[in-house]
Amino acid sequence: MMARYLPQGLIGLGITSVVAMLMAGQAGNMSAFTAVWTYDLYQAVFKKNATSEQLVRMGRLATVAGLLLAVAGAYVARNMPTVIDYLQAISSMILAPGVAIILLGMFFKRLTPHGAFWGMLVGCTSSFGMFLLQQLGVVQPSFFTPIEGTGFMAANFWCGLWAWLISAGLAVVISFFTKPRPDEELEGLVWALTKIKHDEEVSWYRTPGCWAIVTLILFIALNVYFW
Amino acid sequence: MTEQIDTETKGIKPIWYFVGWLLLIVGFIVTASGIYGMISPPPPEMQTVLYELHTSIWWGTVIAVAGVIFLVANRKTSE
Repeated sequence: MMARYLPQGLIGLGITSVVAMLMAGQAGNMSAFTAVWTYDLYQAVFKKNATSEQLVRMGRLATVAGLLLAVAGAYVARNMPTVIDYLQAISSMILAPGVAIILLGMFFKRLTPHGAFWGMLVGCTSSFGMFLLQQLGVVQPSFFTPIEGTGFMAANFWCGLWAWLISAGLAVVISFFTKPRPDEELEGLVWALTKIKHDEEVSWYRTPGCWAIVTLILFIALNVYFW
Repeated sequence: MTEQIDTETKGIKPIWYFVGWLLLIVGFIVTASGIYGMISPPPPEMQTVLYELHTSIWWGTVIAVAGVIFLVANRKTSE
């Protein structure tokens, strides 16, 4: 598409931007993967009294393992119709349940760790199950959607929606049956228990609310124009 | 802590000044390549969609102007 629309000069800028974006995204993902593995799993679960040296070594190993996993992921992506289909499938499995739990964690102070854990786990597993059923040919992609003749990518969107609902629903139900965290522990973490600071002397056009409204108006205007 | 940061950053140009230089250089290159493309256009089968609009010149100029604005707005060093 870039070769079709971008003339000389702009195409160089376009390709440089794409490469920079991919490199930055990859670096961010890799450091997030390493940090989650080393701090949240290795240190928290497997080796609670790990020294700094051991953590650094584990971080390096996790980086290499993450790179190898990424290479393996590229081979899986090769079997998909397009890369965006692959991204969409992965997002419906990981991001949709994750977003459900993050939103609940931010705005629902009754949420408990058990609710969040099982909601996320069942949401991811159910989405992966739906993906697998499609891949193995057990059901057609349109099985998961209310629209006839849906394609692979649209079905993944719908699977993401189902996974979101399963995660959120299960997390709320389990939370009501488990012991909640006291309010003192949640101060500053949950919306209802956070004191929001307001900058009184900032001009109106420098506030996030003003730019949120501008963005919303632009979003609606562009949608109406290109409808 | 704040004082320490203040002394460390004293006399240093803000990062947006250098962003301005980057935008100006990139804008100049894109505009120049657009002008070259206008003077000696590629054969029709190699031309992009709406080639006659010379988007490189327009967007190169926009980027360069943005660079100049960044440079002028951030020309002062921190005191």
